[in-house]
Amino acid sequence: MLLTIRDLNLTVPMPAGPRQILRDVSLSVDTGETVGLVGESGSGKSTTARAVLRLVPDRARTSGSVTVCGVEAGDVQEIRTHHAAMIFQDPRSSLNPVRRIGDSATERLVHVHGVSRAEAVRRLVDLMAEVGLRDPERLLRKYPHQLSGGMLQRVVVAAALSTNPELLLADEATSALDVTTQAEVLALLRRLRREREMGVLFITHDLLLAGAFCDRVYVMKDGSIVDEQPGGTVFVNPANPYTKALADATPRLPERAKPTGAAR
Amino acid sequence: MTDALVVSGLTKTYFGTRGGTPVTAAKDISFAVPKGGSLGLVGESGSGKTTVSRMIVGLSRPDTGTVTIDGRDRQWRSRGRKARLARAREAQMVFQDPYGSLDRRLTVEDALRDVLRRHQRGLTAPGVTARITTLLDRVGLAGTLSASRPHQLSGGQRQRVAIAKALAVDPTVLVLDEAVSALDVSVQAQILALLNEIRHDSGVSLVFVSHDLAVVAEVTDQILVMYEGEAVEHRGTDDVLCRPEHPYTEMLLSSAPGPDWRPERVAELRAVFAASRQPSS
Repeated sequence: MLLTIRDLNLTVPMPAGPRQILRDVSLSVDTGETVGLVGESGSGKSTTARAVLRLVPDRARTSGSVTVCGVEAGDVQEIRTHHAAMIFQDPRSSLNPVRRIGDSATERLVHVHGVSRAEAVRRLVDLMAEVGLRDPERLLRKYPHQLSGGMLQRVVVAAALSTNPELLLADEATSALDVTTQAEVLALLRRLRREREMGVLFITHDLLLAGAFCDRVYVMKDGSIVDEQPGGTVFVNPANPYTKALADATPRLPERAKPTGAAR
Repeated sequence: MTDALVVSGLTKTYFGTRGGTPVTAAKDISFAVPKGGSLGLVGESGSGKTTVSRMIVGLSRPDTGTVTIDGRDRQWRSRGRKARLARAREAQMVFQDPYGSLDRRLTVEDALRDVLRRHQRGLTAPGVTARITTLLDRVGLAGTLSASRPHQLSGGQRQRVAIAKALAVDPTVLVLDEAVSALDVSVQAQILALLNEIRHDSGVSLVFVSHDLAVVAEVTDQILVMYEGEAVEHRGTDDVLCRPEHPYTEMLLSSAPGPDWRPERVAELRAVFAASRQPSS
C-alpha cells in the first residue's frame, strides 16, 4: 500500500474546550490508484491530507497511524522529500511573491533532489506545456503577481509533478480552474498515473468530479468517513443516505444526444 | 410584453497601461431578458462575462452600445443623489465573495436598515423593521441571525445577506457574478431555489454569470456563451446544453464531469476549435 491511514484522530484544544476534527479516519491509496476524498466545508478532508505531511497545528493532539510507502509519518522529512507532494487550492500560498516563478518552482528539484538547474527547468517546461501553458520559458521569468490564478495553479501542478512523487496529495487543486483547464490538468494526472504508477489522493467538494475521475471515493462528514464507493457509482443512486443527499444537491447537466464527434 | 433588460451592441476595449495590445473584452454583445426571465452568461475566465455584467449594473461604461432597463436607456453621465438612487434601483449585483460587499462592523439588521433608509425613504421606522423581517424571511434567514455580524455567519448565510441587500432596493435586474461558486452543494442548491422563487414571485430579471454549466442550467431560460469577448452561441438553455451548435460550447460541455467524462477529449476539442478560429486569409 502506498498510503495507509489507520484510526486517525485529531483534536485541537480551543478556548471553549477541545474540538475533535478527525474521528477514527482510516483510508488507503494503492500504487497507481486515484482515490477521492469528498465532503462539504469543515468535514475534515483537508486536515486528513495535511496530517499525512504533518501540516497540522503544533498544539493538535493526534492518535492513530499514517504510513507512506512503509515509512511512518514520524519521519515526515523522509516522506516530504522522497515520496509525497501536495498541491493546495491557492497557488499564491506556495509561491514566494518576491522571487521569479522559475526559481520557486524548481527549488525543490535543485536543492532537495540535486538536479541541475537547466535540467530542472527543462522538466518543468515540458510539464507546463502539457497543462496548456503557452510559452513556458517566458512565464518562468515572471513574478507571481503577473500571472492569473489559473496559470499559477498550473505552474504549481507542474512543479509538484516534476519531482516524480509516488503519492500526490491534491487538495482542491483544480477547483479554482476553468472547467476546461481542469479537464486538461486531470488528463495529465491520469496519464502520469498510468505511466509512473503515481497514486493520488484527490480532495474535492465535487462529488460528480470525484466519481468521474477517481477509482474509489471516500465521503467524509463531520470528521468521519461515512461512505466508501467505487468511482462511477455516485452516478447511479448511491445507497448511503449522506452520499445520496450530496448527489441530489449537485446540479447536473440535462441528458443530451450523444456528442456528434468532433464538430467542424 | 416589453423586455425588462435590453442590451444592445455592447463593446468595451481595454488599453494596456504599458503599450500592450488593446484587449476587446466585449464585442457587440446583444440580448434581451423579459420580466422574471433569466439569462446565463458562460465562458472561461477572460471571456468577458464580468465585463458585460459590470456594464449592466453601471460599474463600467461601454465604448459603444446601450443598456436599456424598463424602457429607459441607462445613463452614465447624470450625477446627483436622485439619479444615483434611480440607477441603483435599475440593477443590483451580487458578487462571488459576499465578505467583500458586507461592512464587517454592521449587523445583518443594520446593513439592511442602511440600504432601506437610503432607497425607501417613504418608509416609517416600523415600516423599515417590518421590511427587514420580510427580506430576511425571503432569503431564508430567520430572525435569530439579524443581530449577527458578517464574521459570525457561514459563507451561505453571508451570500443570503448580500442577496437580501440587493433585493431591498427593489431592483428590476439582479446580476449574479459567480454568486454560488464558492458554496457547498447543499447550500448552493438552496440559493438556486431561492433565486428561482425570487424571479417567479417578484418578477426580478436575472443575469447569472458562471463558469459552471450545470448550475446555469438550474436557474436560466437562455444562455449566452462568450469567448474572447464575443458571443459565440446564444439560444434557449435546453438548446445550448442538449444540442450545442458551436465547437466552443461543445468543449465547455464535455469538460463538465459526468458518467462518460473523458478529460482527454477536451484537449482534442480545443485543437479543433483553435483550428476553426485561424484567420481565413
